[in-house]
Amino acid sequence: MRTENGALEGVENLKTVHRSVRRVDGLALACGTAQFTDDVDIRGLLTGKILWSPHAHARIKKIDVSEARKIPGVRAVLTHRDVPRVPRTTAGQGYPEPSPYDSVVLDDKVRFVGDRVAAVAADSPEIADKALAAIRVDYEILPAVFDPLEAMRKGAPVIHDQPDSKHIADAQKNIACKFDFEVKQGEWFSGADAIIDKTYKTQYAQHCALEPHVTITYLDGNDRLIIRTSTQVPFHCRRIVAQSLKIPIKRVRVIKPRIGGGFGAKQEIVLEDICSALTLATRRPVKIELTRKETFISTRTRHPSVIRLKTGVKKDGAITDALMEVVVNSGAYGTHALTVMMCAGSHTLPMYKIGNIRFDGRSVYTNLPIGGAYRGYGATQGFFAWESQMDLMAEAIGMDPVEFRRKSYIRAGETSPVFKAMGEGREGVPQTIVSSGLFEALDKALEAGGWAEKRRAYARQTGVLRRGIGLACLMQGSGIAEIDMGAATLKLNEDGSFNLLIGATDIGTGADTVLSQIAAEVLGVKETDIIVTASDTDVTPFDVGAYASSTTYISGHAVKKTAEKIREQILKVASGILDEKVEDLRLEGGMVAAKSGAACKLAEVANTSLYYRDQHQIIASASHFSHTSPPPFAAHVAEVEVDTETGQVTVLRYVAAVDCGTAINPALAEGQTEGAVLNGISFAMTEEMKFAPGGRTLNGTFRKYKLFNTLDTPPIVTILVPTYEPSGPFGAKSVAEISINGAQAAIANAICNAAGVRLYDPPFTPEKVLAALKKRS
Amino acid sequence: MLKNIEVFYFPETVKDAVRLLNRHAPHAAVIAGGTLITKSPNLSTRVLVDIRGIDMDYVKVQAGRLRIGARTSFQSLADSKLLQKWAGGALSRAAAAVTTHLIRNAGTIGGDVARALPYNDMPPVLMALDAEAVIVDGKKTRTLPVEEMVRGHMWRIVGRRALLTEFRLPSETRKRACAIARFARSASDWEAMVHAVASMEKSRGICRNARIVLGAVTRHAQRFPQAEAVLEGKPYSESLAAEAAQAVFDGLTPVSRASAEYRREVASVLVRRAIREVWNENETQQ
Amino acid sequence: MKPSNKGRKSAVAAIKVQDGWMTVETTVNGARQSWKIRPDDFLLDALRREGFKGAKKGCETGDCGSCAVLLDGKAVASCLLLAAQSQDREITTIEGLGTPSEPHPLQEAFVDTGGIQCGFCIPGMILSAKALLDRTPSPTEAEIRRALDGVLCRCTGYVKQVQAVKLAAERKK
Repeated sequence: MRTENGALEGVENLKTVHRSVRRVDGLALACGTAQFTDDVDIRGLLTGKILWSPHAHARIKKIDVSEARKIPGVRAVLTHRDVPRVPRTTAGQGYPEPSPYDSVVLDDKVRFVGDRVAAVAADSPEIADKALAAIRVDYEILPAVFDPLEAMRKGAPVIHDQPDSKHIADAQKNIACKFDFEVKQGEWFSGADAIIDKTYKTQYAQHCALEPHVTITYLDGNDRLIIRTSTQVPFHCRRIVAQSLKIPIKRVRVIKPRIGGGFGAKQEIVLEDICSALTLATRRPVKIELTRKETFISTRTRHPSVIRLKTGVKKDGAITDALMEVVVNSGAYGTHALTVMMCAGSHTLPMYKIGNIRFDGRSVYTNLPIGGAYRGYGATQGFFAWESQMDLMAEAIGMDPVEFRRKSYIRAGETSPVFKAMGEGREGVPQTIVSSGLFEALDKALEAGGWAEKRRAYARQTGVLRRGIGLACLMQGSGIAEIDMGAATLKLNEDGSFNLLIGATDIGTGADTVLSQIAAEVLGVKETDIIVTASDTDVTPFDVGAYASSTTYISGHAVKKTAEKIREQILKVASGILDEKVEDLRLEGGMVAAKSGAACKLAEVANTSLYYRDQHQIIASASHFSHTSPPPFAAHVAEVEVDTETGQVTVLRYVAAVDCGTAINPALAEGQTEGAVLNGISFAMTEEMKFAPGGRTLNGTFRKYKLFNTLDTPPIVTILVPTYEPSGPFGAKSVAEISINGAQAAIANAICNAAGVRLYDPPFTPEKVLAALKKRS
Repeated sequence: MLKNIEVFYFPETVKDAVRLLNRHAPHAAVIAGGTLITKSPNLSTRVLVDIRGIDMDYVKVQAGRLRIGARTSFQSLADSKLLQKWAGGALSRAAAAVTTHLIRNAGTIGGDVARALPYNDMPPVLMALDAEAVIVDGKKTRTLPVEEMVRGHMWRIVGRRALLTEFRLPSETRKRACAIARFARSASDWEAMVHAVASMEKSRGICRNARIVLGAVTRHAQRFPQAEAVLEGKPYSESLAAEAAQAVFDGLTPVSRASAEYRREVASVLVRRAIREVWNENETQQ
Repeated sequence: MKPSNKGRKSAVAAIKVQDGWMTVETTVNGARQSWKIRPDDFLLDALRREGFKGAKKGCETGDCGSCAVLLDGKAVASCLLLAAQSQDREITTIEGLGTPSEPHPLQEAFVDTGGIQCGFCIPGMILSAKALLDRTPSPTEAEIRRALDGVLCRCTGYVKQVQAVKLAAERKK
């Protein structure tokens, strides 16, 4: 329901929500006083280090740590013989995790250059290095395979041949996971006037959160294991560490301090299990802090993909058929292998109105660094294929690419069979689109991008420098329907402030602020009256953690419900103080106000309830999960300039229009969009992990793997398109991931518009562009 | 790692610095900005000579010649008003293009030439402007062309037994027109793929004293006399620039890092553009 | 140890290593420090060990700028410099700019524009901005971007960070 000036009813009168309030942790971060994992000094802290495999595929025939253990200052050396062997997944997902149980804490086999071999804890980093150097390993080197298509062929080395793994789809063929579904409405391709059959390849990339992975573990006075770690998933971490080391969950506590970014690389148990094992072995605090190089190679990466898209389209613009074959390179282990592969389809296909649909997905093991969760989570790969193909289909039928898109996209009130067919690693949940700003975002992006004038102006260029403009539209999800759950607890203090205890995990996203705003809105206070304690498994209630764009939509709703319960309790006490009926009372400006004009401060309510009569703590908890995952939508427009003599492509301007429902904090929503967009742009232009023939990573440093700096960044224009999603708190959907999905397609489309060449394999390096230009002429 | 260091010295004169380097050779090393040496593992270094107290941070003109102290930081070069007027400001532009601001503030022109990694920014433009390096080795002071310095064996002793103190540019280079081009994967990339520098004197529409220098594509920055010969004594034209660029293309054997053929292609494109830019530079500059 | 004067016969100032340790005298945020360090300690490690946790370790190669501090007023990568190089110099860390109760205008501006997300790059970013504004009180956008080009941010796309520097410059007028 939109008012005249575009604001949404129900939103324009909000006091805190939908305002760009300052981050509640902003000053601490700006002043360097906020504490990240490594910003504490612990007495007796040992340095933990990991011995990494130099081979892509090998059995450990013998591992001799006797010399290492003798070195003075070495407190523990662990091999596969010294830790429990419990097959599990390291993927931070809800239990039971939809990823194969194909890894153990330390194994007698290594599966990629950078895999774990052993771990040491020592008095200093130098002594730890000496210990690593003194470990003697006898490897039986096995043949390795690096290409997923080759890995599936007969005769390829079997990477997971251990008998105790679980849920691997076909270990003999190195297929970690597979998923197929089909919706057939007629004979395949019989109604198509044109058929486009293309294969798109996306590359290995790494999240490059500025804070490398770091974990500190120690035993408290009760011999409980305390894990202080840079994680997106504290609760999954607790469970999986307990499972892996065969200790009871109640013995483990996970604390998340400030996190220097995650983007999915920390939706994973990367260090916590082995660090805990070292603490249990030594009874000492241990810190493992990865170098940037180790973070590149031995944490997680974005799954490379090969996506074949064969689509049929009619002259009138109807998409009659879509065959989507997805092969995802899982790397050495299958964490998130099923779900990322499925999201390439589940978070793309529903956006299009299609007749016959078939999705064929495989996640394949290779002896390369491990693919994991990475912002966008398969949709990023999927949209490169789909939104490139949209331009190709439009061209094939002689239709304007914008007009074609307007005909093809799902609208509010509509549904897609894909919602039911594809969930998170299992069957999904049917849903209908309730809120959609997709078409408005499209209009706004085109306008802000100067689409019409530029398409005209760039139609006939003759110079060395050619300009072009390209478009991509996107969707994502908001949490995982019927799986993701978050909870919150609120309690009232004497002065009218509140403690908000949330399992939800702020990794830089601003979750603490957004959730405070939601609580404050219901309670009639300022967000600065809310004191947040987050992500401590002993203290805060459960939350799945920061992934699947769930925090605002799911955890936010839990906070809202909790605040509403608190409101009831407050009003009950206040009605006694003011001698008014509860129905006549409301919360406003830190007060309880009556229709009659009488009022009292929250502090009075608090003191009454704590000290004066009918003493009780005003406190409540609530949980939330959703039966639906309403998609945010976006439209991106990229303008580029191609130097046809060098192949250099410069992104001149990038417009991102996003519908995230109600933006609880518009500045934060813009910030999320801007960061995701830039990550998408460098993923399109420069980022690519490279490997030597033997599987060693060649460019695992910031020196060789380039992120964009301030000078590389083009002007980014962000437009928030408000809609109202009734199932979300105050109408909110998600915003965290969607905008990383657009750049590869938008830029590929723009390059094609500029120079008449289409690239199917990002990054769009100058070399590739020049080669394509030469091939064309 | 510099694990075996026994002492840090802070000399205030060139003489003291060189004396210390000689006394402790081969275990001594100079530390200036500190952006390169600290990350190069050298277990044999036992003595570090920190030269920050020596008067080697200057840009001045003396007897018509340009003199740049070896310890001048890239940022100081970029900011120098004097340098902005020499050869059209090419040296200050090259210094301003060094990635990133953290390196520009600490790294020095001396370090850039003494440890001439293929992609360093200053050697090509210094060579294009006929710069010489002054090296004090014990009691001897040598002056040799930067071109020789980067190619020869001086790197073995400069910064270890001998001290590079300054660069000198002949007075006639002040009025040269000079264009620089830097091609890298991104602005954040320290390791340029190609540096191309073209400089010349333009007298009465004729090109004289052309210098064409490429950096980053070969082991050391390299002059291309064959390309220079194409231009020498002739009036500018697009086809002449293309011919010179072709001479570079034909004469270039990129060191075998990735994309050698591509870099050869880009090098010749950049040379052609640099020549055009130099020619079109406003002649009333100085 | 103060360097002695330029007399012909006077000894060159030196710091010796004894039993693997050496003492460095420096100034951090205006306060004199005397550090016992290893000769190959990097400045970043020494700062963090001495309690200046605002300087962060994001890489080992000087490429990310999370470790940036001001050395004699200029932004440098503290992970590349040896701690010993800070002898007799003045270092400014983020802690020296302001506190949550009394923030520096730049710190305030970064919070106001939303230029902070995870915060890991922020000390390096704000210190680099301070060095810029100290020299160039009214920088253009191009000058701002160039002065911050060594600090990488994966969260923000730099948009609101550049705005923050402009805002701080505006407010100072």
